Amino acid sequence: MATLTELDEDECSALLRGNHTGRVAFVSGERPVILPVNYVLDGELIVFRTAPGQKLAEIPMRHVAFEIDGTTADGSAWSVLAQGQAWEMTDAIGKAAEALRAIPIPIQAPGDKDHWIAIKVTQLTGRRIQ
Amino acid sequence: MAFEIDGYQPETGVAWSVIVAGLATEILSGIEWADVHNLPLFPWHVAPKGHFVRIAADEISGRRFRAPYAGASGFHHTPPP
Repeated sequence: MATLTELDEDECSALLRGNHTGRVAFVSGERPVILPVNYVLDGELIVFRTAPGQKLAEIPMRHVAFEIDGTTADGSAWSVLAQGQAWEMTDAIGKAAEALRAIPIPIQAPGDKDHWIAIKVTQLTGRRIQ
Repeated sequence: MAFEIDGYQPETGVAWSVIVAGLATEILSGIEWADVHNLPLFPWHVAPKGHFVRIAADEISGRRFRAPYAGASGFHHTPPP
């Protein structure tokens, strides 16, 4: 019999820190869109890079959702949902912004991704099914 | 509704994703319900999930690219703490 457990915030953070591929969901016009990105968790910021396009046009200064999930060798499955406001950090001034732009993000998709976006996580939930 | 799947093939180093967009409706009527209730859907969690939702896809797109280092750095999930 499968059981569902809510993960606490520390577990959710650890999972976000230990993974580098997630899915960012946002509203474009009146429609929802969800796209995979490579990211790094830096404190309470989910940081990713992108090229000019839909993500850059629609995500900054908006509320977005971010999801990762996985399975483990023991047969359990988990997912983490982060929500918060997103900001473009490409031209942001200050030491914190410079430090953020120095984070190495393991990008796999081709193309120049010279814009930095950070999601400030304000809601973090997760669950595990065992 | 937007719906996304993605994956990575370690043998070929290829990463891919598919996005579907469309209107979602709950299937309530008898004949439609008869169509779907035998679909091989196996929710991982066994709590009663008695509602069927259908997304009528009006846009579908996908991409694929070689990501030779994905297995080492990104697409492997870590176990829960």
